[in-house]
Amino acid sequence: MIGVDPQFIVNGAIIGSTIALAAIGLTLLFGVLDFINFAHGEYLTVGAYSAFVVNATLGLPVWAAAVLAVPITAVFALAIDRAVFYPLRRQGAGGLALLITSVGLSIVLRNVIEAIWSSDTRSYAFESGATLNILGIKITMVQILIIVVSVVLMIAIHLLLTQTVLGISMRATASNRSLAMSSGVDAERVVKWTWVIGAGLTAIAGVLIGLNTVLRPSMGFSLLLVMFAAVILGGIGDPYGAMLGGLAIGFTQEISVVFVSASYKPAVAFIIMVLLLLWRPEGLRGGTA
Amino acid sequence: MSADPLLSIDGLRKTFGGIVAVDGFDMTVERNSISGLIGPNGAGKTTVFRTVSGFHTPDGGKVLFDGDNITGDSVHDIVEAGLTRTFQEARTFQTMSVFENLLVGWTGHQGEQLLRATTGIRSYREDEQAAIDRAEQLLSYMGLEGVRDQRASQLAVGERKLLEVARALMTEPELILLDEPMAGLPTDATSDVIEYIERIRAERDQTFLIIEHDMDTIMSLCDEITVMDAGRKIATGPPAEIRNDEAVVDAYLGTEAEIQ
Repeated sequence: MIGVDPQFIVNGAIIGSTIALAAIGLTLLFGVLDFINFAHGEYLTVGAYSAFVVNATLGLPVWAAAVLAVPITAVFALAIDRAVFYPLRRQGAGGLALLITSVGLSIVLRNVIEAIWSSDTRSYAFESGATLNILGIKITMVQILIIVVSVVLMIAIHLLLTQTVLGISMRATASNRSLAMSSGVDAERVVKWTWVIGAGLTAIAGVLIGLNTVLRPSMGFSLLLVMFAAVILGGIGDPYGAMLGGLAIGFTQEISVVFVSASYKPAVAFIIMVLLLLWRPEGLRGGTA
Repeated sequence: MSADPLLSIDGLRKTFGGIVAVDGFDMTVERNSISGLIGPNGAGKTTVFRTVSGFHTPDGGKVLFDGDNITGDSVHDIVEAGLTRTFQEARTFQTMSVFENLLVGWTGHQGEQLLRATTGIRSYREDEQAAIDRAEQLLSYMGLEGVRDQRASQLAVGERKLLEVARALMTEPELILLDEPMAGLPTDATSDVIEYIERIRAERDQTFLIIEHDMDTIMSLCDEITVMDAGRKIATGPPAEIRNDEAVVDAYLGTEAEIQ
C-alpha cells in the first residue's frame, strides 16, 4: 500500500499480540463463568506493577520480574474471586450483577494502584538492546522478544486447550457447564485454573506493554475496550477468536494512523468491530467455534 | 451387599420457594435392571434426577448409592462414585469433536490440574493413554467411529443421543440416569436406541433408570416401573401391573390414552 509506513507491521504485531494475550484471559473466563469481567484491565495493570515492584524496588532483572508477575497476579485474581465473585455466584447472582460488581471493582483497583504508585508514568529498568533495521523497518531486541513471547504463549495455550485434560475440561465447561459436571468435571476447580491462566497471561501482557512503552495506573483500563472488541470480534468465549481478533485490531489500528490521527485508534477499532459484526454477527470465526 | 439395591431413594423432598416439587419420594433400583420413572408433566421426575445426581441439594430424605450415602454430594463426586445422567435434549459439547466429547467423561484422571497436565509426569501420560484407548473403544462400540473427528454440532440427532450415552459410559458408571432418551427422535431411530440400551445392559452389566414419555418404549424396556404424581410415588411394579393399576390409569395413562 502506497503511503503506509512499513513500520506499522512491527507496531501492529506488538500491539496486536499483547492485546491478544490479554483478551484470551477475558474470553476464557467469559466462557467458563458466563460473565464479562470489567476489572480485567486492572489485572493487566496489577501484573505490570507487580513486575515493577520486583524489578525497580527489589532490583531483580526484568525477566525475573515478568516471571514472578504471573503467580502474583494469579493469586490476586483467585483472592478477588474468592472474596467477591464466588460468594455472588453461590447466591445465584446473574451475569449482570457480576458485571456491575466488576465495574465497581475496576474503579476501586485503579484508584488503589494510583494511590500507591501515583499517576506518574513508570518504566522498568532494562536495556532495550540494539535496534535492528530489517528492510527499512526498525525493531529493537526487546520488541522482538515481546513478539516471540506472545507467539510462544499463544502456542502454549493452544496445546493446553487441545492436548491436556485440563484444557479439554475447560472447553467442556465453557461449552456446557452442567453437562461437563455430569461428565465428572469439577467445575469450580476448572474456574480456579481459568483464573490462574487468564490472569497469568494478562499479567505477561501488562509487562510486555510496560516494556514497549511505560506503566501508568490506567494502562489496563485504556486497553479494556479494545480487548472487548477483540473478544467480540473473535466470537465471545472463543480463545482462538480472541487471538485473531487481537491481532486484527492491532494491525488495523496501526494502519489507521496513516489516515486519521493516532488519538482515534480506539474509535477505529470499534468501527472495524461494528462493521465486521454487521457482516458476520457470530464473529470472525463464526460458526466454527 | 450385592443383594441390596444399587440405588435407594428414601423420603426424598425438594422444594423451590414455596413449591413442593418432590415430597416423601421412595424408590429403589436393582442392580443390572432397567427401571422406569414415569408420571404426568410436572410430577417431579426431572427434579428427582437432578437431586439424585447432585444438581440440587435435597431438603429432606436420603439417597444411598451402592450402600453409600451420597445425599447432597457434589455432582462430580457422584459421577466418580459411579452415577451419571444424560439430559432431555441430547446435550453434547457442540464446539468439540466427538472424540473430545468422550475424553471429557474420563474420570480415571486425578482431576483438572495444571501442573500435572503441563509437566507430563509419567503416571499422567499413562492415565491419558488409558483415556484415549477407552474413548476409541467406546466409539466403535457405539458405532460412532465414522464421525470421530466431526464436531458434535454436525451430528444427526440420533448420533447425538448415542454420543451422550457413550460419554456417560466413559465415566465408568454403574448407574446411568437417562432423561427422556427418545425425546425428539424420529420413530425409526427409537428402535436403535432401545437396542443399544438393552445391549449395553447385557454386555456391560450396566444399570439404567429412565424417564420416558413414550409408553411403548418404557413398557418394553423396563423391568420395573415407578409412577409419580404431584411429587409422590403412586405405584411401583413390573410393566404389566402398572398398565392395570387404577391410580396410575387415573393419574396418567388414562389421560395419555385420551390424548392419543
